[in-house]
Amino acid sequence: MFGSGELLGLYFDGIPLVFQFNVLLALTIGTTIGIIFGVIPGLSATIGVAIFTPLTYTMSAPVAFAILLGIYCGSVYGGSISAILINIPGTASSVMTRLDGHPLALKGEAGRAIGLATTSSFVGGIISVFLLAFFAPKLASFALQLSAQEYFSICLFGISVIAYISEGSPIKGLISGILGLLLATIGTDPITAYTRFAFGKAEIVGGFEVIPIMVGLFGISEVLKMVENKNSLPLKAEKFSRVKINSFKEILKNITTVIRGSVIGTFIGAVPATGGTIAAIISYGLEKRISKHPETFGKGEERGIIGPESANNAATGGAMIPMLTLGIPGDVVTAILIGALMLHGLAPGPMLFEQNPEIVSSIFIILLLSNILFLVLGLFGAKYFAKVVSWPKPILVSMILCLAIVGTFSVRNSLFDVWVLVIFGLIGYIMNKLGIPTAPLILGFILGGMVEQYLRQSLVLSFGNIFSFFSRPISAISIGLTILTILSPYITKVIKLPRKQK
Amino acid sequence: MLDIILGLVMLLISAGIVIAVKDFPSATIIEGLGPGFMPTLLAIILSLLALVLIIIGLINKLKNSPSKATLNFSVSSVKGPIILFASIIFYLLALHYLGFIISTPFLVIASMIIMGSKLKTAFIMSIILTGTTYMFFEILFKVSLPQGILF
Repeated sequence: MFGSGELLGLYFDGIPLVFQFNVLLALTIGTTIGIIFGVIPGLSATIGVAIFTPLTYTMSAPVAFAILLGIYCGSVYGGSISAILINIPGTASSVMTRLDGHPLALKGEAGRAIGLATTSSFVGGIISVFLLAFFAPKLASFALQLSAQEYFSICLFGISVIAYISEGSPIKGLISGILGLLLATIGTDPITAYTRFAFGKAEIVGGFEVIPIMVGLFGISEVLKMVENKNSLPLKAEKFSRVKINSFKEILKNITTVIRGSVIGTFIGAVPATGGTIAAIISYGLEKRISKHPETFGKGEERGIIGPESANNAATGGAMIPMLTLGIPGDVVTAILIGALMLHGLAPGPMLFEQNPEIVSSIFIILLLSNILFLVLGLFGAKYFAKVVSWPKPILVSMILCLAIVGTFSVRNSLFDVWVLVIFGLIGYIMNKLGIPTAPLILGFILGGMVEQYLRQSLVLSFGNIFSFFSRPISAISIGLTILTILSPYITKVIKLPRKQK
Repeated sequence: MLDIILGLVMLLISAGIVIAVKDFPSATIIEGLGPGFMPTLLAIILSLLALVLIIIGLINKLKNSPSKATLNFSVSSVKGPIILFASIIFYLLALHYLGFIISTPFLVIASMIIMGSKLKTAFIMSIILTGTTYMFFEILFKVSLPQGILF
């Protein structure tokens, strides 16, 4: 357990790091870029954080996280603007906001809808940061005592969950995860230092770098997709004059909805590999079920905006919990953030809390500030952000392409990395075409080293006895959950089958 | 049909891994726990998943139910991505010989034209974008961008 002094350090040591001109400037730029990426359909938090991660290489860690976390929080919020105004979720997690937000906009109440979305996103985000700051240190000191078996089983659970919830069939998701784990075995074996599958290429003796693979899978492949969909209809946004500021009153009136959404969001976000989208869907479903007037949902019900919006932004703080404390990402963006931490020589996991409390603290503070920033930017600037929807796509495509290529090159001054980037861009594009989700691959790749080391360590310690994984409650539960997750589509099929035959 | 091909490709990958792992040194402490352990284990799981994919694909084919995984593309829709990908490959080769400043405008023009932009806008953007990227990286971030070996 952390002593009270250490705990205070975790909360306040970051203040001098964060309250500096360049960090605050970076945070403002990051949050603004985030909202823009959120607003533009087809761009998302994932792409934003992916292409900006290599650019932060030369910056100090607080500046880097100010930009990246700003993009993360900003874009999850920004998605709601296009969901309300053009009925297309700008990011996947604002998919539910569309249902009641757009009807409100059609009634001419777009300003009110955006006001509600902005304030509830803010409150959800803030609550989740506090929950993160409260639970993360406890979980981290608990995680320090986890054995290799337990770590292995938790990783396995994370990969199976993301395989199962990703788009497409669970089998393809699992294949993607396994391919990611296989990709991680390329290069030097962590235990015996034997070089595997390098085929004489000096560049990959140390294994593939995370950055080019990540930016390729989530940046370049998206660019290729944008080129393919270039003829999609021009988007028309509902007009609105300004955001209603008195929405705080309405939020206070619906404070129970906000709190429910925030708590759901934080905890759903904290489950490895789930994220804001699922949190928003669950929150919407719950609000509709317990509402006295479920028939108003889908027609401009304010709780239909407030619930999901507080939930999807709360999921950002939630997703940081397993990422920071265990080194296991809560969603795809946090998987990329792990890559960013590693880029700055920081290893996420319980040791981060002991060795770099000031970094953990600055992450908490940056998240808090980013939520405040998008509230201000959203309330006063939503009108301008709405215009972003009609930004010319050719310029966006060429800009993202340049950023991705030059950014990846700049990390190691390596053209080889750029080739890896482009090849994985193509692989990602083809995988999308074949209905194979890419998220499990990157998760498998990032966790691969850990998974292998823990698995072999625990097998060596138990003299090859695989049942040792069931001897500890946490690993037994995780493995049980993993098996359940993998089999769940078939279990539900078996349960449903007799009904169909009737 | 597509799933069956995908499954077969995955089976090939698994087989390739198992063959490659044969040359790996064996472990000292516990038999089989050497550097080849993880790749072999993963290859086995991958081949099992591939078999499931193939079996499901075959069942769907026998039932003659239209397979869910039909490739949703026409040649015209992937033309753009293919041309862009080819341009990027040419760009990377050019980067090696001609360097960043000369090659990049061509990539920007190519990508913008593919997206349906006018040549004039593309031309202007290519200069602005190359210039700002160069300034940001070369001057602000102190990254030495490829100079090209011909200059």
